[in-house]
Amino acid sequence: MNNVSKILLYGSLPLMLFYGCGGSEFDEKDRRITGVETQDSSVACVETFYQQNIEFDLSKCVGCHTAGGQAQSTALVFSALTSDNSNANFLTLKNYITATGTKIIQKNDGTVSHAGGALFTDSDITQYSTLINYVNEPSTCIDSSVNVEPVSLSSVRLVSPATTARNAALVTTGEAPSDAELALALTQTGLDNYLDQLMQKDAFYDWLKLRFNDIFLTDRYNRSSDGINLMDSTDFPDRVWYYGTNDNRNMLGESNTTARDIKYNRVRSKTNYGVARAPLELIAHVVREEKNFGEILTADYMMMNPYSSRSFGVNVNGFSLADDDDDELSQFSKDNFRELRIPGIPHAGVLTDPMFLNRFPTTATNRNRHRSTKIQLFFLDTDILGLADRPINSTSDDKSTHNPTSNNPNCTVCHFVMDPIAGALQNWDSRGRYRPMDNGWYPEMMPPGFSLSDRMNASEYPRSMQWLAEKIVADPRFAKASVKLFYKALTGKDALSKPAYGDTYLAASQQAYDFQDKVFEDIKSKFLASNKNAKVIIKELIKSVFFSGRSMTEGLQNEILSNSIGLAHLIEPENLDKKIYNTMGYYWARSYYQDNNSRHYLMNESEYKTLYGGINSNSITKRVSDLNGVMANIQMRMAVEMSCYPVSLDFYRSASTRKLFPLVDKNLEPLDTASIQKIKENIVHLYKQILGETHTSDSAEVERTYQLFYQSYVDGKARVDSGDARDRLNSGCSVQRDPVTNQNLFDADRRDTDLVYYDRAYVIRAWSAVITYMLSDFKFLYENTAE
Amino acid sequence: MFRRDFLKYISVAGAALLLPKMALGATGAPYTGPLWIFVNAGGGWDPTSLCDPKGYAEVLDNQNQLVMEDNPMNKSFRTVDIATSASGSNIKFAPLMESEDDIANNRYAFRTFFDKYGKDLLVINGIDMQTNGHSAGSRYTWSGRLSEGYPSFSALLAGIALPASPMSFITSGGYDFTDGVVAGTRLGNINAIQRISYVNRYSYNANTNVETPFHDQATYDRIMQARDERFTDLYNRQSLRSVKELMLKFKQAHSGSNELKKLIEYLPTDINTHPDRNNAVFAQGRFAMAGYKAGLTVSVNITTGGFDTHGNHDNSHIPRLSGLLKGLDLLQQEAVNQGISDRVVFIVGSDFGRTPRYNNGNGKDHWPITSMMMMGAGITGNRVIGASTPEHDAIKVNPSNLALDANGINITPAHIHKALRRLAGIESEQLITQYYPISGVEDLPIFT
Repeated sequence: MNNVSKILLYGSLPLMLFYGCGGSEFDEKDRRITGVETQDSSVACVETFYQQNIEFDLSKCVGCHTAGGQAQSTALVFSALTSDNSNANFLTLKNYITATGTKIIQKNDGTVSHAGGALFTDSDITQYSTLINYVNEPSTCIDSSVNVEPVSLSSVRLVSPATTARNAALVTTGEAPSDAELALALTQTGLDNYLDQLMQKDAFYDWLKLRFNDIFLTDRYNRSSDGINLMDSTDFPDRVWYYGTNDNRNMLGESNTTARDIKYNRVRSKTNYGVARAPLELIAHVVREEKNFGEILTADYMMMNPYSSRSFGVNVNGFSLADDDDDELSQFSKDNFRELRIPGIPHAGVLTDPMFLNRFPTTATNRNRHRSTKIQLFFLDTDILGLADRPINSTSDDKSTHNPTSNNPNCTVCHFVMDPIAGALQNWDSRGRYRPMDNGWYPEMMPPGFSLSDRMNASEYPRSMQWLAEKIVADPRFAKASVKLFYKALTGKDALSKPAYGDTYLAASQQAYDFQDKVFEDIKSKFLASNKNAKVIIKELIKSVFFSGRSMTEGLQNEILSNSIGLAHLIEPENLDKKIYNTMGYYWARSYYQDNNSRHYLMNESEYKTLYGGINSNSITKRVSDLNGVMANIQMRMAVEMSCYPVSLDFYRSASTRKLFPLVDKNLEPLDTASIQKIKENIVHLYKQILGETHTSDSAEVERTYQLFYQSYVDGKARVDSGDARDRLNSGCSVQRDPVTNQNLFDADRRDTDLVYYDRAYVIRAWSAVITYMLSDFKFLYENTAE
Repeated sequence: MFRRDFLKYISVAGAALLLPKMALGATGAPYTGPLWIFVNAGGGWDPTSLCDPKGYAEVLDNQNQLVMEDNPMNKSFRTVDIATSASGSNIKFAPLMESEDDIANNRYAFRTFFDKYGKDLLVINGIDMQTNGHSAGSRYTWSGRLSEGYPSFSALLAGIALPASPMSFITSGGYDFTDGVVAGTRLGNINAIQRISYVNRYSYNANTNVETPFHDQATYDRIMQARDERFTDLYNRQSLRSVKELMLKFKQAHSGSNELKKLIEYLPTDINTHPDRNNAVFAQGRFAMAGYKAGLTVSVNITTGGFDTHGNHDNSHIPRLSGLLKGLDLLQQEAVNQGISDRVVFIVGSDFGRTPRYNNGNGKDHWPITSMMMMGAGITGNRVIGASTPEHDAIKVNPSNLALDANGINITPAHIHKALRRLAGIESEQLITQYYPISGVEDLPIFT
């Protein structure tokens, strides 16, 4: 990208160029310098020099020379060192130099009195001297920029709308759309309609909550009574409403001890579920109902299910223990969340949810700074920790600075951005309780506000969080942050960071960043035009090159950009668990845990969840996305185990209800043309069912699989006949009892028809080989939206 | 052998272009180097309460009684009581966890560790982290680069030595960015690991040593062959570079699947019952030692947290330091028991240091000057490099001889990593020179 294009790309800010005889106004009242803008490519050269040589060390100045800093009344006042303010700060410095000449050097080399002291090293003096020369004579600027050609959207080929529809369904719900559904998604309009339908499914929102938990990690409390235990017993005296008053659980209404314990655990679990999941349920609710997405912060309510509403002291339609049962369709189902308010609590969406506040805790000395950091990261696209990536001057006399977080440049670079919002969180204590501070906020800290210059009026203090939420949602950064949140949710990747000078692959990074940013800006515009309907973001991202990209133009060599095109990644354990079930009709779990989601192998931390790269939202918060040898073994183990009992179970079912073998039976041997054809047709079916591939029965791919089946059958049958192999399945791989009634299938009337036990011809085991072959395939275990 | 399979794919499929970093590391030779154990005290530890000790002075009050000075550096021990290792006269340490109450409660005294290992320890004090940020500090400590982009040193080691092993680089968190050089492995339930080490095992009779498979061996081999053929077809038809890379990593991960059985052979039998199994440093390190003995593991990232003590510093921080030292001691004993103590390297560090003196909450805040401790194969002990002032500012050193020198330089993690690469013998590896050079800093004779 040439320098003029760069200016245009970033140029939503007014350009304060001061060149030649352009007019200038010196505002005597506030002693700041303003100017009339003109554009000049040589000035862009100067800005590049500033970015590469001055900007990274500006923190030594910004500490004082910023709104709220000690030098806030001088003629040189910078904005906070966030990436958004890079251009603004350059112009501020440039205009100061234009007005005052070499004063900036004189102030910092000891020539002229400077309250901040002589901060410049010899290297600084050299760089600033160069900058001054360039500012005065831009035409002398030596272009040190990295020339980056912009990439146009036409450089990326997309998959078809129908393929996008299929991939969107698989990624979000784990279930492929039917042929009829796909037939409606052949055009862009059809795709839009299909996505609208997709976003009405419960499974879609299960996925959405899973992905947002990857960001907010509040499921840390969705276990045992962890969420309930965060509730203050004074604020919420009914938090364990199901417990009873005399510790004998009589209120559960069960006389039998075992039944009572079962009911107690069920009710406790559903209550904790309601408490712990409230933030994620709010997000899903706002998206589903197409509300303004800002409501995730401004909502003056919480989401509660009937059970948690009792804990919060807000009963739902007189819900009582008598209404508790396992009917998930009941109005009192644990998944039936609704908007409810706690009297006296100034709700502000997730910001005031105890789960969110405890997940990002504070202490007496931290004073909400951690929360402020997270809130700005999630909702204002501002990475405060990133501000500290600049090397600080460790030899300066830091210890003598009183109140360093307010006065020491090494500290204020972050604290000036962090502390005002920390003050806005003042009414919520370390336990996430609403506790307005009797004596107000700490006087030695930055005044509470949205920024140093945007302070909160004292009249707003009682509703400080709501005030903050309104500010955040109104800020332009919120819309961009929202796009990035959904990008992360959909792809599992963080948005590309703006490259910094010194990055190893600066040109490629810049090109890729610019490309992605342009797409995000476009989506942001549509999002804003829709009154912040989050479904617009989701649909646009799905239709974008980041999800639907198939390939890039030959000759475009940018690995960073290429890696962001399309979505190819290892399926996470939670989604793989669903996919296995949707494909095979059986979960990867012991038989007695089929209905217990948390005990499935890929869902259980004691089994494979953590080993397979999953998180626990507590100590393990980042997924492993690069396959390692342990994970590879888990894949093979799954493929082998799922070829055991689930294969037999499918044969047990009637042909019309089978997922795997609708065209063959357990005894069909490849003895003649007709039977071979049937077997091949079933292989074609398996390719579609398991791998989503369409083949004909005479294709090379089907032939390879058929040979796997056939050779295993021939070899196995021979060994059975010779006595070298058993004539029956392993016990655990057989179906000896009716899965529903538990009837023993060895009974005479069912022995020959329903029993799946003997395998004298080795047919079942040959099919098991095919299933292992397919379930261990790259295309089953990875999502790849480029196909 | 899994390395040969991977190398085959590297050369035949042109994969070197797509996974250049892994290709550069795939030498194919068995790993004969040491086990590298990196222990991260997450949150910013306080060296002045450990290996760069600074206590409090006593002064006379107006009643002529000796009392703690106002605003002391540390409140838990006197400067005059700063101890010297019984086995390493150059090693000074904070004499903590030695009170009657500590002894009665069987807490691990700092003296126990330093007396035992003083002769082996290299302490580097006065390290200038140039940051007070957690992310930047952690990254700088463990990669040698302040800004983003470089993999952790532990990942680099594993990526160069054993990229195709199923568990070359074990990580429990901390800074474990790999940049695709190697895949990091997490550890979990031993029973689960045992099950997946034998993927095709249906049952096993220990009495008769008879294993019953799911698929008979001939069928299983046939499945594997069919998978290989299909993989090659799919790979050759794939047009997106990013997907081809994923496919290669998939192939590489599967090439080592049989090797996991060796881990089971070397796991200590008391892995689930050892009385100290809850010491995170010890537990994670034991697993890595088993992996190393099995020829699978090169490095491990061990993280133990809770050191970011902005409040109530002494009561929170010092016990954690004690637990960390105990874990190191246990691990070193384990290494002796396993017969590999001469082939283990310990590197211990943190995000940064903590402020001298205390804040209003009796805590300590972030401070850019910190220390590291190291011991093991190739490291000469009983040495302290670098120093800090009584106010815990870094003291400059002469880059030629590391003597304290006001006209010298501050030691930074970049210097340390440059030296570590030389210690590991990887400084000239193409992976390093081409992708992750450390330039613009002096070569300090830290390990020579």
